[in-house]
Amino acid sequence: MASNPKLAWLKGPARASSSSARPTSRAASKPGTPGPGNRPANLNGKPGTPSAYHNAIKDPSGRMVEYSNKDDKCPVCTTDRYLNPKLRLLVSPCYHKMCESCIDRLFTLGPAPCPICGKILRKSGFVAQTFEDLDVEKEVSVRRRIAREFNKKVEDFPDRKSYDDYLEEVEDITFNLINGIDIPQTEARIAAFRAANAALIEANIQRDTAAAAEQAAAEEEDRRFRTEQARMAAREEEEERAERERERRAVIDGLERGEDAEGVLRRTRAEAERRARRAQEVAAQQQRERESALTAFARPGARKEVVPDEPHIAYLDELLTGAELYTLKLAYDDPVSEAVRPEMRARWAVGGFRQAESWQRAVSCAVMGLGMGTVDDSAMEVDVGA
Amino acid sequence: MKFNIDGLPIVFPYDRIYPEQYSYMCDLKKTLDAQGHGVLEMPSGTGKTVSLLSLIVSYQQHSAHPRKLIYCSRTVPEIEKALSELQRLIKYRISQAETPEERTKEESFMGLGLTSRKNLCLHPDVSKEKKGKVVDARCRDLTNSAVCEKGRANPGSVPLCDWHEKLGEKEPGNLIPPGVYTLAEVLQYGRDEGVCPYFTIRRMMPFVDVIIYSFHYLLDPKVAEQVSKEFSKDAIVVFDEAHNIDNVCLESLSIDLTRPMLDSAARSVVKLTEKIEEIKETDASKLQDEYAKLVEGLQEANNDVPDEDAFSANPVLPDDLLKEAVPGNIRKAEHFVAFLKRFVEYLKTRMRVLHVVAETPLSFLQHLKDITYIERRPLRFCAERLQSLVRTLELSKIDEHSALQKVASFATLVATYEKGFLLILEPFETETATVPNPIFHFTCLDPSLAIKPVFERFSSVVITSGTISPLDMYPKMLQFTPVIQESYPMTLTRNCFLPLVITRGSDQVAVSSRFEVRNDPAVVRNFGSILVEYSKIVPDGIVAFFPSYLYMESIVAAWNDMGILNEVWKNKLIFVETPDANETSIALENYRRVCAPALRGVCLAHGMQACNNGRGAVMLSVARGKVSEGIDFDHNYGRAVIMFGVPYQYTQSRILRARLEYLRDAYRIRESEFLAFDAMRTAAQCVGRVLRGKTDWGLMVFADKRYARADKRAKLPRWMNQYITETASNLSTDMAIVLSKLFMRQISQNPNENQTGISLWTLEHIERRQAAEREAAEQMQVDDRGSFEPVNDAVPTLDDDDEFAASWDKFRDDELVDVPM
Repeated sequence: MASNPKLAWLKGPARASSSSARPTSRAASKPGTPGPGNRPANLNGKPGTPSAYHNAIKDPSGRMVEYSNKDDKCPVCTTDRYLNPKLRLLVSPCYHKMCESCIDRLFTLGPAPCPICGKILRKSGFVAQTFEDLDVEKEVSVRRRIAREFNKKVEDFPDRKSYDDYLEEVEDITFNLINGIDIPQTEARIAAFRAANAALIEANIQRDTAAAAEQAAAEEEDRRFRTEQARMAAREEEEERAERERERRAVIDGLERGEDAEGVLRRTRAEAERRARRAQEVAAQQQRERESALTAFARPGARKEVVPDEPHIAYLDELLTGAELYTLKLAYDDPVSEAVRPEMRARWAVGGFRQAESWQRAVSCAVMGLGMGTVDDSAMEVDVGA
Repeated sequence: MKFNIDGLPIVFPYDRIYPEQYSYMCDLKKTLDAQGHGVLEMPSGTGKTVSLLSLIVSYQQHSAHPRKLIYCSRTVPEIEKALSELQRLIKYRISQAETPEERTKEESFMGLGLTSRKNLCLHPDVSKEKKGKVVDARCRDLTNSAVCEKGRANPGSVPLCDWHEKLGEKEPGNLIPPGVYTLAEVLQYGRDEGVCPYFTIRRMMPFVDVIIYSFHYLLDPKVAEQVSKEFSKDAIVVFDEAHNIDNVCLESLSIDLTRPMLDSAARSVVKLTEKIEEIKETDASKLQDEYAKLVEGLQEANNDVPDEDAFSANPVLPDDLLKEAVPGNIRKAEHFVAFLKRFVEYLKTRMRVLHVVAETPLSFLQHLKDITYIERRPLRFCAERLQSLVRTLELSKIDEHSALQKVASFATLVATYEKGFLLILEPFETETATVPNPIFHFTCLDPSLAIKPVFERFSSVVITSGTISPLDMYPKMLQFTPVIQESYPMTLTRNCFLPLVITRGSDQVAVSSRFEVRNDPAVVRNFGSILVEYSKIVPDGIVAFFPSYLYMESIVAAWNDMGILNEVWKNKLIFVETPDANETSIALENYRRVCAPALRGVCLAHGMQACNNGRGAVMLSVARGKVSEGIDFDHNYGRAVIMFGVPYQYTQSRILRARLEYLRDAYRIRESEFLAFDAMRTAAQCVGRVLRGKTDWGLMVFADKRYARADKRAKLPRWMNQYITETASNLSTDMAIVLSKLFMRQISQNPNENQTGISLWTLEHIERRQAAEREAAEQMQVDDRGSFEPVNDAVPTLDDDDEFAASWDKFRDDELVDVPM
């Protein structure tokens, strides 16, 4: 392709990497010479890559690449990868493949018939191949068209069943278009649908765009949060390491200054203990925070100060529990205990906690004084906890 | 032996009981009473299984509404072992029954084990198949309901399985007389009666009291749906040997796809299309029927699917989703097949990328929708819909479509879960590879997802193993709240194992498998000299563990150059574990042959080369390999185990990195914390292989400088940690050898002391202990009277360990003095 083949070979890789000059060089290239260097650029599917073939499936994230195979062969000029290592096959709107040089040769001067099926094609109609199976390629392009119009959501229907029926109808239409069954009839159905739902379609398009933007934002937020977390964890670890290092240095420094080794050791141990305690506290704090977040209702700030717990016995002579004054029900309406999570309840049960006992205690506390008065109310039956 | 725990009569099939077994039973009972979950760690070889079974069976037989026991173990031999343990227990219970009613109650007790079709098949052709998948598929071809119907209506028209047919003649619910059967016995029963053992067990499952099977039947959502759905909520679930349960959970929800799989899936799609065309011409009503059913809703379509037909269940679908109807756009068979084709093509396209991609399921779904217009909802129903289609088409040889099934369950999983999963595409196998061999990993990062349904469904789940320290890690990772979390010490009359930490060689150079120094010649030489020295003094077998295959290979090569292997050869034969399972099992077999004293003579008579030696052998193996899991080196098979280095995981793996990141973000478990935990549990698992009972003895050598650190050692199980003395925690090789020699000299003395009362209890001891407990409890109550503090702090904690440690200490001192030299 160049006048000096040796030089061209030497220059090859350098030219392949310089993609900036590519569009102009291809425009200037004579028919029959493949545009050099565009394949690697398009392989990456980079966004914003200027390409003559803009109809290809757009994937700005770089998670897909153009299809290519080592056995590729252009059906028009029968060039294969052996003859032209940079062979790139593109797909026409009639789903026939041909190489770039053939496209340049045939379609640079304007619309021309497809060499395989005779349909009139333009150069701009060619797209890069994404899927290995051309049927899928075709299917996807049909779906792209359908999706633009049949974009009703489940909210637009009275119930799921009618939504499912709608989905099936759309699928039927798509299927017919793909396989070329009853094309005119199908087109008529599409037109009718479009006419009937024009406003809704427009609204849904807007809704879709909004939803996509929202999701992108959420993802971005999530990523930011994760990086932040990672950074914080790293910093925490770094701090801890620094602290340990400092302590070690302190020990060495202390020994260097000729301090008493026992004393240094004791100090270090105390320090380490303090640190461990603090770490534990922090962990406990976090645990508490999480638990209080889990528990729906706020707990009272009990146990602010620890009162020395001396055994206290109220009645030394005779313990009147008032058991004869009431009959304990099987269950009470007790919102406080019901709010306790079941697994915590199970944990208490291991410790010997019985729900009935607490009720009994509460009830007996309530009635305990009743029999003590001067009024003879011992016969009174108390109805507790209606 | 019979005794009571809090009013529950326990029948224990032995005359004596270990103290730790007693405490284990007490805690287990509390867990069951409270209907909560528990984490229990008990030293290996102290009769965990028997105490568990004996308590739970007593519990079941005592209560008016027996709760079913679901006992999950890891391997088939372990299942078989548990079954024979249960059998012995029931036999003992029958012999101990006092009244005839009790006797009949015991005799009607049923216990069965379940394993795959491959292990249970009796069909002459099918059972010869080597692969489990093929056996499953061929079995289904012979037993699914459509085939059966055809075969019964018109005998001889289609091949049927006689064993399965015979089963239909029996009364359902009474396929096998009551009792406890091991797997081998069920097989024998099937042979005698001419019925299919696999389906006998499957159909009897609602009627049994105890079912023993593998973890996967409960954890893997694809299997659990079929096998374990009928169990009631109050069933007791036990996971034995559960130290790896988090990995099992992750595996059960992860799927890897490769190029060849996608190609095969694409071929399956083509076959399905052809089949649909064919059916349309011959029997269009079938597809119409299916379509009509699907319009009605999925639940109805799948109603009353017999066991035989469920060819691959679906990954978990939430219940509300199951009630939903299949989306309209995949209702028709041809639409669904086109849908599958599109999805497979899309995945193929993704596989062509030559750089690593990591993305969340949500971003994957968005991309998929942008490119191929596949929505999330139909994707979710993919597995379900495929199953229905396969059933309608009456496909045979389903194993050929296994790749497509995998793709379908991939689709369902990716559309079902948003959090806790990551998709990773790795185009190259290794960093240096140039030929792409892409793998699309769909990895679960959150072990609690797979086990969540189990915790939600069953009121009591017990996780137990010999080595699950540190205990609080498991509730954190699996997201549950245990009511009891306990680790038991080992009571011994004499030290039967000696843990040693070697931190430096005889030349005082520190040894470590840290990446920077692991290939340092001094370290390699010192590791070698540890092996040489121990091969000189230890009789019979030695097992050595390395952190990885790669490191083992490099070190063995270096040892060969240094002549260390020649030194070892003078004393012992050397066997090496390889990644190849067959090769390893041959190595293990020969290793056992060399170490078995009874066989030595036989081998000599047969002139076997490997056994002429008779001095024992060294097995070089890898932590996390086949040898480190599930293979016991009891008694003379392993008298010493040497752990070279700390078995950290390969931290550059992308999947591990993602998992660590997730643990940090979701559960605030630090990377270093998790890695250290994982390394130490692996190390404990490895060294635990050597001690399989109280009569066994062995040396445990930890050769790495990092084991000397207290934070590392704290992560070892309590029963191991208990015996690491201060003197033995920072040794050089020569000092360790001296200690080992001393230990072996002591252990080889006749143990003429009586273990009864210390590490073995009779009924009398139990009663004495219970009386002491009661007393302590009363004491506590007296102390407590009048105070209105919550009661849960006041429960007497049994300070058995102190008591026994004290008596044990006394004994050890005596022993040291009295040993006749």
